[in-house]
Amino acid sequence: MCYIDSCATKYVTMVEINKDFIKKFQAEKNKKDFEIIFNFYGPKIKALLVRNGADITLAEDIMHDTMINIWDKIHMYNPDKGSFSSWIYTIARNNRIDLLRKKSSQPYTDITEIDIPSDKENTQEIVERKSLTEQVKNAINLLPAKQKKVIELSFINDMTQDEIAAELNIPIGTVKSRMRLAYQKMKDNLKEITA
Amino acid sequence: MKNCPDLATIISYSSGALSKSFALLVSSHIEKCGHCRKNIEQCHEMGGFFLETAENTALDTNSYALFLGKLEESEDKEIHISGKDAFDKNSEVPVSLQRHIGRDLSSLRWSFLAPGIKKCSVKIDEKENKHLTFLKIKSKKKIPEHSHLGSELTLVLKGSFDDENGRYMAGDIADHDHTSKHEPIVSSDEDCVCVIATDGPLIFNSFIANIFQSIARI
Repeated sequence: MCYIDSCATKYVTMVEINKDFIKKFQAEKNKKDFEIIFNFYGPKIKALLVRNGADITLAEDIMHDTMINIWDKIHMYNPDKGSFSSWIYTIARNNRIDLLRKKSSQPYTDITEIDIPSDKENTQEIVERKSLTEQVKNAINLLPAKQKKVIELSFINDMTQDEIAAELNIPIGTVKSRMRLAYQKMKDNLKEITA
Repeated sequence: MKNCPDLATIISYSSGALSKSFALLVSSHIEKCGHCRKNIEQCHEMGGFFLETAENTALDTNSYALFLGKLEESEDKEIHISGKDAFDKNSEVPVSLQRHIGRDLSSLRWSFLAPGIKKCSVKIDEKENKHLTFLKIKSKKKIPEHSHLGSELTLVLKGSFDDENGRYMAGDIADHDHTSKHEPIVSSDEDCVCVIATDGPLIFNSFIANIFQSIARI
C-alpha cells in the first residue's frame, strides 16, 4: 500500500498496476493512467534518492526526470523480459548515476533494449518468467540477514563492493562471497518456492 | 560463453555500482552471453523488489502537475537521435565499445610496449580521467606473472589466451581481484586483442616485468 502525504486521498496499490493496466497504458498512453504509476513509484524513487544523499528538492527533480524517461520509453517495456518494477528500477538507476553521481550511465546496457539476438526462450521459460516477480520477493525475504544486508547496501544505498566492505568492516572478499551466496540462495529459494 | 564475470560483479553491475570502465566491459560481454543476461535480469528483479518495498518519501504538493509541465517542455524540445544505426552488431568490437573506439579495431593507434606486445589507451571519461587499456599480443607471447592490488577485468576481443583458470576466447571475461595471480599466454595462432579495466595497479613478480608495468601503466 502506498500512502502519499501530500495527496491524502490517493492510495495506489501494486494490484492496480497489473499487466492489463500496463498493456492498456502502453496502447493509450494517457496522463490520467500515468498518474497511478507516478503515485506508486514516485515516492519510492524519491526515497531512494534521499537515502543516497540527494536533498529533498534535488530528489524531487531527479524523480521527475525519471518519470519523463519512463513516459518516453514505456513502449520499450516488454513483460516477457522482466517485471515492471525491475524495468522502472533500471531507469531510476541510470538517472541516479547520471544526475546524482554526475557520471554517465552510458556503459550500462538496458537488457530490455538489447535487440541483439538472444538465446531463444521456450514457452515454459516464458511462463516461468511471468511468475518470477512474486517468487523473487519471497526468495529475497528468505535470505539470511548478513547476505540480505550486502544486497541491500548495493541496491538501495548504491554502494560499491569497497564501500560495503568499509561500511560493514569486513574484507572485500567476504562482501563478494556474501553477494554470490545471496544470489545462489535466492535461486535455491526460487526453486523451493516453485517446487 | 565459457568465462563470465564473477557473480558479485554481475550483481554490482545490476545495482549500478560498477565504475564506468568495468561496466563497459560487462556490457560488452552480455551482448553475446545469454547466461549472464539471465543472471542480470534476475538481479534486476532484486532491484525491482527493493524499489517496490522502499519506504515512501512524500512528494511535493502538486508534484504531478509540475511533472506534467516538465513533460510538455521536454516534448517541445524533443530531439530524435538515431545513433543505433551507426553501430555494427556484427563487428568484432562490441556495440558498447563502439562509441568509444569506432566500429572496428583498425581505428586503434597502437604503440610499442614490449617485444610482441602493443598497447593503446583510450580515455572514456574526461572528467575522471578513466581509461581502458587495449593490448595486442603476438601469438604464443606470455604476459609476465602478476597479481593485483585492486580488481581487473579483461575482455577478449580477438584471438585467445590461456591462464591457470583455462582458455579465454573472444567475448570471454577474466575477472581477477587481489587474491588471484596469473600468467596469461596467447594460445591462438592469430594475435590476441583484449581490453583491460583495472581499479588498482598490477603487481608483477619480476624486476623486468615491473619496468613493463611502469611503462604500461596498467
